[in-house]
Amino acid sequence: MNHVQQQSDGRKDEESALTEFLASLMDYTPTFPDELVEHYMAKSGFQCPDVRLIRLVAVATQKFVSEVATDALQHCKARQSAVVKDKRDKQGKDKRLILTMEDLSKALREYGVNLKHPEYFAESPSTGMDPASRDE
Amino acid sequence: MSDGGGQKTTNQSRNDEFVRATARIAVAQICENEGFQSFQQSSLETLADIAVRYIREIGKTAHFYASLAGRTESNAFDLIHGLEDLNLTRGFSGASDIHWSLAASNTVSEIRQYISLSEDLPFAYSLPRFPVLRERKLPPTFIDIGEEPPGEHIPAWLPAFPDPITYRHSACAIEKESEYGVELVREQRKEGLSSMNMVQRPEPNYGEGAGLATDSGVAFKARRASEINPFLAPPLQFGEKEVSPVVLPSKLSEKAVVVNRALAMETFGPGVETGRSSLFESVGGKNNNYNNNNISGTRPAVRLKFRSGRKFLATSMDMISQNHEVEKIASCFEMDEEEDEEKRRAKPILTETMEISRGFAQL
Repeated sequence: MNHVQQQSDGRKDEESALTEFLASLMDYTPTFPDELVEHYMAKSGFQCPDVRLIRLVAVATQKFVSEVATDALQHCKARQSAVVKDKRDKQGKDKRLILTMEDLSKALREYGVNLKHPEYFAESPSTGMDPASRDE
Repeated sequence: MSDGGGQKTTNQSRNDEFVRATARIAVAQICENEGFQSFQQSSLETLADIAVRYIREIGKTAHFYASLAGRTESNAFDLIHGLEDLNLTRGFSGASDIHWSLAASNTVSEIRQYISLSEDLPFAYSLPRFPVLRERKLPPTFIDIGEEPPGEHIPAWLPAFPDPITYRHSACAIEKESEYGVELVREQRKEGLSSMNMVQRPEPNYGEGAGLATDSGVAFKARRASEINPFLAPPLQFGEKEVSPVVLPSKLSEKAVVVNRALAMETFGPGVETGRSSLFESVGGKNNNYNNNNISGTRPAVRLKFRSGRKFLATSMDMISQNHEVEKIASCFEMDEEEDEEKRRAKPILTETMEISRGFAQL
């Protein structure tokens, strides 16, 4: 009996914590606007009049994107430091941090997203080939 | 990484573009907050696309769990369940627990931590509610008009039939018709619906007594049209108008044809092929059809002109070909006796000309 009571008490606590959390969501403004999230949720069939749930999704997506961005930034910084180590005379050649496809694909791989990007686009199939072997 | 370009066009893609642009802005804001100073365009688009897909995936799984529980509206637990599913690959504390409750899910607590750590970063612009719904002007129902629907099978809550004036053919109706058509076209342009095309002209096939009315209307219109354009007049019946009778020439009577036919058989004799004889029979049978054509005596006889030998150089080939053609034609139709004689005369001369031409060719 006691055990069951404890369980039910525990559940009540959890639920109250959840409701508190959802209430606190209204104070926080996520970067993804409500309209945007609502539009895409409606597209997939999600139906809920509660705004707090929309906010929850928005926050979850924001968390996801920021994590990916952080990982990509780390990759970018790591590459820059590697470059600087080779040539000490040039002081941090490129201080600008740019989000590149390479960093992004490395970061996303941990999240299960396989991103493959073509390195370059050629005009014709024989571009960049040896002029001797090129068929005229 | 954008959607297959060129598949969606018109309003759909415009809507999509706007939403994607806002997502791109939001993602850029987040990345800037992290520390990035600039982005590659393709990478920003890719990340925005992934964020959109993430949102859609959460929505999909939440909807799935709600339907699984037999509900149409999702609740918080469905959402948390969906989030857990997505974060399962990454892993969160408590993922491997056998007994777990969604309320105490660690995914939520992780989000809570994130909120407490990060600052508020509101969206840069204010967005209106979209998609913008336009008020559609619905056609009035039978109840709205206060009309009784014609026939028991038509419920009263359906849109009413258009005014019979709009589709019946009459002088004043044409103006109204054009108005109606113009209105429809305007509506069509506003809403961009192609279904309106089918409704452009209501068919006058329904309604009691409308059938009779339209018949008289059609006849009336026909009469009016005939006054204007004689080509559209209804055809005249037999005996309506007096016309002069046709006088057949005596030569084209049946008797003449039979006589000529007998003559033709005699002149040709055994030389006539069986095929040709069948043709002659058919000519005799279709006597009436050949009343207007020139046969036997009425057709002008073929005259062959023979010039001196010198001129044969220039015209020998033509002459020969002409003679051959004439022979062919003559053999197909009935011939007179005089033509036959000429043919006999022509034959030795023909052979002569051929020899001469050959001689000249050798030179």
